[in-house]
Amino acid sequence: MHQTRRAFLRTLACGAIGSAAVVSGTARLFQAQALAASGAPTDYKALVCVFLFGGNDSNNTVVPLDDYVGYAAVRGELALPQASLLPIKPPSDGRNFGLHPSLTRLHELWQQGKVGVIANVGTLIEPLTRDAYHAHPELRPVQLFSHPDQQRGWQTAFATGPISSGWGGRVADVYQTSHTVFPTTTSIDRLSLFATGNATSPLVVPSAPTPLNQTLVLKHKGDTADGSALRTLLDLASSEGSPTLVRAAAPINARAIENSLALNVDPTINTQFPDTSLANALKQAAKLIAFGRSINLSRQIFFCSLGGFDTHGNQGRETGTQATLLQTVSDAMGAFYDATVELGVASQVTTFTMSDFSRTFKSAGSGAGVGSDHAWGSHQFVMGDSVKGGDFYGRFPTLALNSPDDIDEGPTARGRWIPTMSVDQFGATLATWFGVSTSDLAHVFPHIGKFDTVNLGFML
Amino acid sequence: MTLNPGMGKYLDMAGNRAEAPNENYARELLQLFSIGLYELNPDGTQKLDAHRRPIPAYSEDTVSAFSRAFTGWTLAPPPQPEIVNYFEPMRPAGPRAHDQETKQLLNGVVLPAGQNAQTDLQHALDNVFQHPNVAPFISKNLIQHLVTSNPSPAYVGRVAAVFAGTKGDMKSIVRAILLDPDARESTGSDTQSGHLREPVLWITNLLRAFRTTEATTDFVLGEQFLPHSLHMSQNLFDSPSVFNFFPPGYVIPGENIKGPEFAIYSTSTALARTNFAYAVVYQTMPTNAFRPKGTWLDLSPFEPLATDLPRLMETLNLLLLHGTMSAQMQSVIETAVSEIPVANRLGRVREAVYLIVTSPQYLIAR
Repeated sequence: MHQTRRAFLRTLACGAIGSAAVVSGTARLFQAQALAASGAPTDYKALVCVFLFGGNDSNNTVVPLDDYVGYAAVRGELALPQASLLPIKPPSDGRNFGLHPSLTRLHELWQQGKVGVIANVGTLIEPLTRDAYHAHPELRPVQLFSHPDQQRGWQTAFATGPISSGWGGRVADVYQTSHTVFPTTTSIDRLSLFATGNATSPLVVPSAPTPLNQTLVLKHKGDTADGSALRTLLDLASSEGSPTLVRAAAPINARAIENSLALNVDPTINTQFPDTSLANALKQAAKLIAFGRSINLSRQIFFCSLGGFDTHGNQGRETGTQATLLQTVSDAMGAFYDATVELGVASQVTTFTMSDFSRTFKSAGSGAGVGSDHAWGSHQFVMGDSVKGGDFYGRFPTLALNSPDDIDEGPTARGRWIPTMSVDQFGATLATWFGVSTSDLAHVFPHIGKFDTVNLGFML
Repeated sequence: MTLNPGMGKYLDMAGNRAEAPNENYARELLQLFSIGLYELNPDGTQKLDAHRRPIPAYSEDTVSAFSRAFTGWTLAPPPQPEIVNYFEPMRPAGPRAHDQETKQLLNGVVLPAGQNAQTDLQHALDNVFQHPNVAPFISKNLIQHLVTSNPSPAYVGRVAAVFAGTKGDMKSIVRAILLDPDARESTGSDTQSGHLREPVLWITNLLRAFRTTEATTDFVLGEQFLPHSLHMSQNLFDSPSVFNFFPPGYVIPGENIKGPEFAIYSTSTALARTNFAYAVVYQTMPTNAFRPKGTWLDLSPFEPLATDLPRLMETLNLLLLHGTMSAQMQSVIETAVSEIPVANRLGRVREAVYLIVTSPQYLIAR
């Protein structure tokens, strides 16, 4: 081998290969995989991202019980009734909190030590105080409060500007995989930046109930004897002389055909999943884990998602829009946990939530239509037998307008908490558990050096 | 658009009140519908500060000011009990619902205190329209949708000048986009030009190429009426969010150039297109109550050419690829088609059409 794997990945990251244009898209893909296969681990691990699109309101996801009066005074019509909350007492904090009443399965798993809460995490360029936020606008992540920019910030762990790879994909880039064709990352139902690396493109398959062996089916290869014309044409389109966009589309088609041949079984999962879009996505992930085990994949990374969290209006409280969404999340993640137990991989699969941002502590609108606007730092869940569950990681913010945690100032303050931990740290903790070495971490999370703590300690 | 009741419900301006302003419409009006996130030059490139960083076009305070300017609107009264009034524009909800304090808008414009909801709305929309970003921002987005994902700054500049000169007259702008030298002449030499056909345009292009009429199609839009294996992630008029399906800045992984339509082009949707082509070419589209006929291409007019493959290829090349098919591509397809017995004329035509319309060359409009 003429270059080390990491050096190769670095050239990809710099785009040097792209401009050299000597290797076709398809060939490039396999070159990357061949290099990556050089030192495969023998154990199995998987990371599963559950992205809550729209910005989940963390202020009604985890609620302080010891200061319920202060919470209710500001939240007003949005305040969850005290008696409805599912009580938890994180040892590292010492105070009493309550989970949203819809989160019954996650509460149950919290009590079993399988679920932890990462408190007030978000996009950051470097650690930031309220004073620094106001004095140095250049230290703010790019386009706070904008959905696509903050979704990108969470998926890329890169708060200083757009970048065309996600941190899940970059983990796959540097991680050795034991299989040369089947991709390490899978994005269920939709393409995601999270699962796209510099040298990694995700498999995209539809959710259950589509059987796994029906997710990618090529109905017709062509009428010729060996059915090779379709593939020959794709190779031709991938070649050097083709226009750039033609060359970019061809390998996606080629991968689709290759993976359709590989996905020839529909593993049985006996665990009952609810019939929701997220549960169906996670059920497909469970089947892909079973499939991955069967072909000796050593590492897999998944992206699943649920939309509808942008509750500017009609957010509801213990019932209503957010309650229904959180019920969906809790029940789907609970079923997925059960499936990992069924497959014997509960300690090898770690599931975590991410979301655009949290929402303003002070509501928007009033009456039945009450909702909340875009904010910043949020609370996220991590789940699995390798999670040090039943606790908070990080400092729960002071829920008061104009507090040192609030970026808003003066009488119109709405309560948008400055994160005390970054997406980079959150991701690096998971990537470290996954097996990414300290030296490779800097490639996956280029800004990790800005933060004192690389590992937030929530994984065993 | 601002007072459309559907928009009022969608982005929460209906019921937006002074005591708790809702930022949803204000933010997306600025970010998506008019000026975008960063200050632009007249050619659509980003202005840069002394440190060569892009300059945000507005701040959180601006969003808040616009959200307050847009307070005080509500849906018109129900035409019948229990029926939401989606028929008439929104109307003022009364003076107390509108924030009457001053508001600092774009370009140093301040709305004075004491104005009513109608006046504030008119002045706020005028303020947005007068922002210098509007012409290049809208022009570039239109070019990306209509012609090429990576327009040159000069191209954007020419169209934006027409936009500015006609105060946004859409006929003039679209004419300028489609008749521009970059749209007419450079496709041969500029290897980066063109754009991936979005699914609905890929389908309509295919159906129109073969003069499909209602005899052979149900003309039902909406992915929910198709089997899952044919879903292409573009459920028309039902995008996952207000950001629609195609982020204008989407960079194709590993290619270093933009391709907004690639944001929904994956292994799954690539196979769906191939299988959709199979269904319409080979007349195997599943039917159901909403699609009783299925949809298929009538290829019988081409059957006489099945014995003359060079002429068949020439005809399809002109029809589907406006004569750009390479000799190599033509040779691969001809070889494949020639393996089908001459007696199976329709089979020969189908094979040729299937291989062309599933090719990346046809997927990319150039």
